[in-house]
Amino acid sequence: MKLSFTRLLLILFFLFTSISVLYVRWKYEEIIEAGEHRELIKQIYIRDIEVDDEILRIASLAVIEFDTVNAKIAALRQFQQQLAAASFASEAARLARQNYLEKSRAEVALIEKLKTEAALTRNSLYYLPTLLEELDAAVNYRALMPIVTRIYGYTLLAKKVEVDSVAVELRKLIAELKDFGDVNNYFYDHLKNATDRVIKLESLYQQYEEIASHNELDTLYQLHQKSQNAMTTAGYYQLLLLLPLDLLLLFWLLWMVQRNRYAEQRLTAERQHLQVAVDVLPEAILLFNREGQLTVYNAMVLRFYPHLTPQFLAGLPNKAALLRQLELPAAVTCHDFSGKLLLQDDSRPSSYYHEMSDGRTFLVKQGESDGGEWVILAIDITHSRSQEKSLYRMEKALHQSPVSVVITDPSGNIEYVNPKFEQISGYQFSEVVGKNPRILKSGETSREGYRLLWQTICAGQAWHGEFHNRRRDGKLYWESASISPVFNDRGEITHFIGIKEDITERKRIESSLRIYSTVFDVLTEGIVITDSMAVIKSVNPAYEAICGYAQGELLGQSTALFRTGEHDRAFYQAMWQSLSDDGHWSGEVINRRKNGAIYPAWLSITRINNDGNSDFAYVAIMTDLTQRKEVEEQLRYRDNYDQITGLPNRTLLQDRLEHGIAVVHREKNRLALLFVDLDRFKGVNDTYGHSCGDALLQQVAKRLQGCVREGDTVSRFGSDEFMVLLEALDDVEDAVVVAKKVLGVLSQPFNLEGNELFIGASIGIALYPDDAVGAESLISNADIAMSQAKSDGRNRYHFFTEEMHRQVGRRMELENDLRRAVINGELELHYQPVIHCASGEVHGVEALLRWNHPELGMVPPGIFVPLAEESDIIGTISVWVLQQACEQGNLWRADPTLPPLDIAVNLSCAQFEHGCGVGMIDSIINNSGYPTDRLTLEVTESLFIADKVQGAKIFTDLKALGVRLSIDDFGTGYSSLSYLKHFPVDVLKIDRSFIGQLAKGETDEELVRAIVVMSKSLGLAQVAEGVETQDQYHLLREIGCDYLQGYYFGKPMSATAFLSWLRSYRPAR
Amino acid sequence: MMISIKRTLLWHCMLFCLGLSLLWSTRLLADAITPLRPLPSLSAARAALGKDLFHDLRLSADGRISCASCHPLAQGGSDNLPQSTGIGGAVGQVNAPTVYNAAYNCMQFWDGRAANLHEQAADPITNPAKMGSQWPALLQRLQQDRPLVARFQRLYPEEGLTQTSIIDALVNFEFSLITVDAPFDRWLQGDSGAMGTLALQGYYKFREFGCVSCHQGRLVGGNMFADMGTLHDYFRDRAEPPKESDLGRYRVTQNISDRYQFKVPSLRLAIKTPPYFHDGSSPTISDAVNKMAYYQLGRSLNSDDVEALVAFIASLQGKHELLN
Repeated sequence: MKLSFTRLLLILFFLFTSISVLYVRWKYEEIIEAGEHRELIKQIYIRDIEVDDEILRIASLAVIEFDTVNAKIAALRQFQQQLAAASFASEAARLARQNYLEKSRAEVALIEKLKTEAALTRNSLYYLPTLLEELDAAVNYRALMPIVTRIYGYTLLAKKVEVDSVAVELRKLIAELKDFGDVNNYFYDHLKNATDRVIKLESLYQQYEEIASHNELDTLYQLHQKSQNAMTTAGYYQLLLLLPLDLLLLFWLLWMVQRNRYAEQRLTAERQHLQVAVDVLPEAILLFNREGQLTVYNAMVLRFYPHLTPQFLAGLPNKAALLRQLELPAAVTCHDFSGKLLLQDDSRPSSYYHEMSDGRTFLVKQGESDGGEWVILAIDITHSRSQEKSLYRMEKALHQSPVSVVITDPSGNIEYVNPKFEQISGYQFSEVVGKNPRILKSGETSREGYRLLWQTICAGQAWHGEFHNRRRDGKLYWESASISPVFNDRGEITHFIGIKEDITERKRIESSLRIYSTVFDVLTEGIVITDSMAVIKSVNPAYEAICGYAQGELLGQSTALFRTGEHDRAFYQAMWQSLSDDGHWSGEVINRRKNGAIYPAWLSITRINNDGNSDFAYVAIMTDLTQRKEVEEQLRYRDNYDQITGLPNRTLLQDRLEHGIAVVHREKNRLALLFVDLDRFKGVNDTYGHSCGDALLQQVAKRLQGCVREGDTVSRFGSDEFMVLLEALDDVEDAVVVAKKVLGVLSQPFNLEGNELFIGASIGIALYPDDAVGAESLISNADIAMSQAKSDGRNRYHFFTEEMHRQVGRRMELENDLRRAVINGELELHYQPVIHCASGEVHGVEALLRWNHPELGMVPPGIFVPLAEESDIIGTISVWVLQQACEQGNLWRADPTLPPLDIAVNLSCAQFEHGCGVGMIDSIINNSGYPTDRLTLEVTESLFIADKVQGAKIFTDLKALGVRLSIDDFGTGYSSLSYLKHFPVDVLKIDRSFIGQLAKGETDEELVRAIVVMSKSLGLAQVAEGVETQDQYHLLREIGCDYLQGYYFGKPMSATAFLSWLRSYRPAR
Repeated sequence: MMISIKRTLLWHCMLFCLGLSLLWSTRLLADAITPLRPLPSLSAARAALGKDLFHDLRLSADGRISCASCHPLAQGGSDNLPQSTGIGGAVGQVNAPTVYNAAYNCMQFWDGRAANLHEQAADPITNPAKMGSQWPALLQRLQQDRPLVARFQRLYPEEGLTQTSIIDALVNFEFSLITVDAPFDRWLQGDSGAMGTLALQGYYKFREFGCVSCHQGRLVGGNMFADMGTLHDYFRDRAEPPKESDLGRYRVTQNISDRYQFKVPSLRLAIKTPPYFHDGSSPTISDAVNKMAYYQLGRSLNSDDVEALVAFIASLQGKHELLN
């Protein structure tokens, strides 16, 4: 009660203080606002004075523009709007403000008039001098002068007293001035106007001054000031009154607080005494006051109920809340004495149990004191309860034991048997109590055995052994028993306790296991038993024999020990998959013996599940296949290989041939079958005997194998017939090469048992797919070709196709001829003119190689150049061509009648690798002395397409010689113009195929045009090749192609023919 | 001889007086007109919005006219008609003044009934003889235009699309309609080659004849009221009898002395905006100059004077991007 009173006091104090503060703040704001108003009035005052000042200047005609006054009025008006919106406390101030604003409005209206009058006055005053000048009549001068002077004087000095007199004077004079003609009239008008206006201006200004709005402003200011002062004073007194009241309250409050503190201190001391008392108690105590609020508790509470936090208790909760927290179902289970579970909402008896989740048990007592205070006491009874429980448990254990238990007195009379005993023996407890266990005897156990038993147990030791007993129903059963004496505290035997187990089933299993074990040991198949992780648990002797390891080495090892790497991951994955899915797998495996030897085996693995147990094992039965495999291999070999030579026989050849044909279809290449028939074998066989013949065949086989690549097949086909199968043949020539090699090696002498024998061979060559549609026909065609070779005279080869045969022959001949041709001077250079398109003049020639064969006549370059490029002849030819061209060029240069001629020489891509590289080219040109700037070297796009880096280097090196570089046959390759710009090319030769179509179809024209335009943009000159018609010529000229070349101008000619052509050439117009 | 002495004496006296008066005013006559400068600190976005509204036909009740209908900006901000036509063929009472430089007028309308552009801009929108709209209906019309509403929401976050914000946008736009860099302004600022001889001559006459007493300040007018017919009675001479709109400032103040008083119009764009005077009765600039000389200055002009004055008036025209 005292506390709440203090609280009330506190609230009162704060209320009062807040009111005081708010009041002061409100007063302060009022004062601030008042200050702002004062400032505003000041500002308006300043503006008002400024406007007044400007008006005075206007009235004095000193102002020539009104923007200034307008701006000042606008500024004033802005402040006035603020003033109008401001709140004034006093009515008088508000009235004064209204008065001021009204007056100010009147002033502004007057200002407009003043402005008008001032302007119009100035208008006349400005104009008067002009008018005076225009007045020519001297007559009026005297009269006019004073008036004008007075007016000016008046406007300048503006004395009020003068106004009336001046006006009268002026009016009089003006009246006299009437009717003096036009100018006079104007003068009169203006004079009158000026006078009138000046007077009006003066009177307006007086009106303005009379309004004197700033007086109202003064009033407003003073009123405002006064009310503000009054307000401040009032505020001061009010504060003066508030302050002591506040202080009084504060003191009262402090006194009350102090008193409360004393009372509380006393109370705390008392409680501390009580606390000390309860803290030493071994029980947990909770004391509640009459309101049900916790007042005292001891430390044991927290020890007993660890789920309560000190903070929670320190909060002194009421009884209901505390009990709810104390008896949390998760931590505490409540029972009454009858063992009935007490739920949280059930009412509690005066005594009951708390079963803690950690196993402790508390007896809880609660009761109310006379004074209405409530006490709860908890006593730890865990220990006594647990003893009770353990006895109970033991009884249960005996009762539910899976083994039978018999307890007898020292003389062996049964005092107790458990239900298991009853179940096993078939006797009820009531039937056996007081009897001797002998009733179970079957007679199978010896008397001696029983004697030993009694001796042992009577000596105070435990006996273990087996009984073969009889059930009540007469059935025999095996029991394993353990009988021990039970002693009392004095060491006397009080009881015997027998623990027995029915082992009949175990005995049966043991015997069958012995049988299995024997089978396991004598089986010839290897057996491995592993656990689920493939760790070997057991192996049989047969397995030891197969793998070579002793059992001791294998146990605990993983089966991975035998792996050879023959099988890939997928193989093992499939195996494990099958095992886990089907529980079984069988298949052939290649394993490794201890000595490292690899052996094939048939493996059959079964997964054995242990009766729903997740634990399982694998049993693998392995049969060694080594021997069977060897037999199989031998058979296979005999089927496929020739016995004498060891070469693949006809069967295997056929296989290989089929396979080779399939490859041909896939790879789109060809294969060749060489049918090799030994020429004089029959004679050897007849003369030296079969064994010697076999030896010869073996040597032949060896030599033949030396003639082919690894992938090719040499096979013995018949008695003296061999077949050579050449696969993946790039060139027919390769078959010829092998055939020649074979002929070569077989014509060498054979040494047989000291005899030097000469045999030879004839070879028939058939190609696939050229000569046959399948393996069979290929063999028979090769045979036919071989017969042809034989009939051609032995020791030679023959193609199945005549044409093929001829071609190959001719080509070989031609190659030989070509070698000779360089030496014999059969090569010639022909020259085709190159025409400058715009002028039609001869620009130069392209040197073109020709071969004048002594028998065949002119051989086209398309035939012999590739031939030369395939062999190394190209080097020699290239050197010759360049030398020849330079020599010819020198000859022409020496002839002064000829125009300067450029010579273009074709280079072959192949020549760079065959002795005519950049260095050679350089030395040839240098030796000849032919100027490089008149020499163009033509290359084809293939040079830099094949190897860009190498190509680029050649280009750069050639360019460094000073010659011009030209791209031949541009457009037929793959290079683009943009690609070309990376190479130092000077000239582009547009391929004849484009030119040939020119003037026939639009497309080519556009194409050529594009090439020309783009190459020009790259700074390249163009030569159009193959110009044959006038149309083409004109079109190309129109397109703007630089140079032309073609039959239309001249075909390639010998040097002599070219010279006569040149002399007769006239450029077409 | 005697006369000439006296005359000289008089002139000396007068010059002394004038000089004294000029010195006292501490300002030279040339400064009666000041260069026109653009108004500072405008909201460009609001001005752009105002520009769109200025051309928005939806502001009128029948959706046929916009502000720009009577104040076409390319033509000088006025429609060159004696009286403009409002909705339904209604004819206005007075000649439509230009919107250019209106921001600098000390008051708006011929009779000065609006103290500023904010007060002025609302008038034509609701005036039955002009656009004839009702604010609620007008706002409803514009509310349909989602993008426009969004624009208002962005530029006037506190109020959005309201009467006040519409007016403010229009005023912002009008604040941007200041014509600057007139040849005369350049001449005032020291560019002696900016004005032709004739125009300069016109300026001297403009001062000499007293035109400059009323047409002064940066707008060359627009900052005071004056009687229409100071020295001669304009309305007596006019063929058409006086009507209510001829009462001028009186209609605002109800003060009899304000009768026939009108705001002196700015001459800045006068060359572009015939016809002239509040009644639009003077079809050409030279006619207007002649009439002004007669009624306001009480004199007649020869044709050379008129030509020079017109050249001067032409030199007052400044530049603005919307002005053709």
